[in-house]
Amino acid sequence: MEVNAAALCSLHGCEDHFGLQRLPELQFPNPPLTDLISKKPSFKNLDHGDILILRNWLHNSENTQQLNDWAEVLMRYLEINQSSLLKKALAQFQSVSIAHQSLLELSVFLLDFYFEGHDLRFLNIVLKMIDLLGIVSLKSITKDLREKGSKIPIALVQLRLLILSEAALQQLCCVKTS
Amino acid sequence: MKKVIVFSPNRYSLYTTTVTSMLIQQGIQVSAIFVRKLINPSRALQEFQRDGTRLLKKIWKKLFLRQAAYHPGNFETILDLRRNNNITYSKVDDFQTNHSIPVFFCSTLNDPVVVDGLCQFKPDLVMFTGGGLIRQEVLDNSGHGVLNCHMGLLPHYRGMDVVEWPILESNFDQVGISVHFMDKGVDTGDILHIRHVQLQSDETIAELRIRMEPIMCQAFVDTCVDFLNGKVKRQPQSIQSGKQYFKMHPRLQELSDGSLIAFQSNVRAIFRD
Repeated sequence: MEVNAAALCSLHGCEDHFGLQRLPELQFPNPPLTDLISKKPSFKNLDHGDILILRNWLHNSENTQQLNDWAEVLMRYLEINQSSLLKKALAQFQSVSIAHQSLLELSVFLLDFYFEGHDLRFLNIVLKMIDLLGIVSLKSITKDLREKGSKIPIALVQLRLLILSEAALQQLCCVKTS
Repeated sequence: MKKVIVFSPNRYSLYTTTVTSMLIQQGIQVSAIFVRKLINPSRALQEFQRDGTRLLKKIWKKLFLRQAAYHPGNFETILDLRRNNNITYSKVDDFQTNHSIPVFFCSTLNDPVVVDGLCQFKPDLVMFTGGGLIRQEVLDNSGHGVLNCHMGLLPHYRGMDVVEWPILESNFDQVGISVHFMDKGVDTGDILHIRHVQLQSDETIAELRIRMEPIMCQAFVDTCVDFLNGKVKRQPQSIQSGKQYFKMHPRLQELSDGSLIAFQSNVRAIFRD
């Protein structure tokens, strides 16, 4: 249930693009920040659970300097290690599905971070992550949503990434050409 | 007489041959040139993974088309600068033939042959005209250091595609070049000189980049001469003052082009009114 709720939360902000009514506010157990605050920002120090904490942290707007440091370090890591990212994520998270999910959720965090601060470097890395083979696939989104199985949360996260990155580009396009 | 060593990304680099010729014309002694070998499969793979098809375009332009890649336009290109300064050398080997400057070929600019050469020639300065990351051991044996001309305004725009990034961010007055020392960070070394480049009407980003090339060559050589004559001082950078940028995604590049066009039409409208 918690995973599904997290995925549903991933659709927050996308309702307008679907022509849907606003989703009700979802209540999450707020994971403690203390563990993450005590860690040095680095991809290697990141657990799968930390990504959700980062996202909550972003929306709570506390300790912003440390959050900025985390976002900057993760963005640089993804940029520099793009060509071997899937291999590195697999070594880090031990399973293909968790590695895939972690990279997706990390991308969602970085996209949210872009929407908060409008630092275009974060949209840049999200667009590259979407291009990265196997991270986001329209075919698998369609298949996973049709099958109504356990992969729906991941499909929704992918959908959010696609819709919101397009929305970000459209917003930028309007600003740049006006 | 002050001595410099030149680092070159490949034997056909127009930038290297132009800068080296101008240094010689300014009375600077070029002790040696270290050049990366053209064929290096592991480097090629690494660069392809980083740049994708852009690498192929770069190779086509820099190694095959070379001077033919430039078309006459309404602004000065590096070819005009070469013509105005009577620069005819088209490959680094020409300096060995005509000036007896030793040219060394290496797989990377961090090879032991480079460090040995630096220890042997003891240059006052190394001029970096491209060729990848430089290790600390090389930096430590380069006299005052390794000088680079960066196609962006430091300290704000470090890293890659820093002509496109300020335009995308609507910082149209933040386009320019910086001559700085290299250190272990990315474009974080001491700054010697910065120069703003004003955007011109009806130019694309690709044209802007071409227009910036001769400006870079001239500023690079002038700053080198001024530094060796004690006329410019090192200005340390504040790491917090700038950001590191990476290769821009093609979708953002399109927006960056659009941003420049919108800016130019706004400027035209203001002047019309």
